Amino acid sequence: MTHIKLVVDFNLGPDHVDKLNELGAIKAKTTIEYGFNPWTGDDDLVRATLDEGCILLTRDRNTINERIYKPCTHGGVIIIENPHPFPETVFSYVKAFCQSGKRSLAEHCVTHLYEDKAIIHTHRGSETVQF
Amino acid sequence: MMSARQVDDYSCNHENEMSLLAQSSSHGWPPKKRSGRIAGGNRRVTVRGWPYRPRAHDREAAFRRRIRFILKECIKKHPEVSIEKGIFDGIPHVRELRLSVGDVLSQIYMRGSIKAVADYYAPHVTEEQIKEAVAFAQDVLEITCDPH
Repeated sequence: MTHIKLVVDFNLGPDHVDKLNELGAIKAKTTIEYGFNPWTGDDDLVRATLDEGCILLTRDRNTINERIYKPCTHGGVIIIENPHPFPETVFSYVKAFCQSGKRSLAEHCVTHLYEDKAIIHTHRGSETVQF
Repeated sequence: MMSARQVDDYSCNHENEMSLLAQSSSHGWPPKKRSGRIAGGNRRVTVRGWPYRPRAHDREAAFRRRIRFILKECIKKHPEVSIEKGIFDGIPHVRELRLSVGDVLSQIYMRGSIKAVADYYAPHVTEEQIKEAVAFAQDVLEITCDPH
């Protein structure tokens, strides 16, 4: 099974990492564990995902989005679309996405992850995946 | 005053509106409010003397400027909060941390206390920083919603 390497944004925190690693198909680490500072800027973090070969999991939809970061300019970004991202909530969202069969599309693209769907912004436009 | 002919010729398209305003502005500033009937119809049209009526995007821009001003004022009182562009593109966040004020409030909602949030992000965040973020949010909310 191909593992998804996730770098979990600082504002989500270590509880989310522990919960996501329970899934098995995911190898999650915090930005701190990847060697980033807690004050790393958006741009540096997103560009670094390309070098690290991982996908950034964040809640910051205002400044990290498909309008700013075009496909293939980064390793991939998954944005959790929930104002109160409990670890269990994030876990269920990511689990549903992994089981949808479309998780490979998330690489190098910006994905908005909702409770019941994922919207992936690829080269060919946005693709909606229903869970 | 406009003549009856001028009123009859008046229609609501932009060129006519601008010419009417140009005409009225020659009589003094600010121009007076003028009204008349559209040619061939019964609808009475009033043209405001002010030559420029703010559109929706102007109002939105003005609102954003006002919010920005309020944020800058509140930042002075709460130095632990920052609106530097590098992190979150200027969204209020704890100084030199990838932790927005909204995240702090969300974490307090989820974890129940300031201490629990500080412990969660330890050693990078202190209890004082969390309190400052909460106080900042309160100030912004109160100033923004103040009807006076």
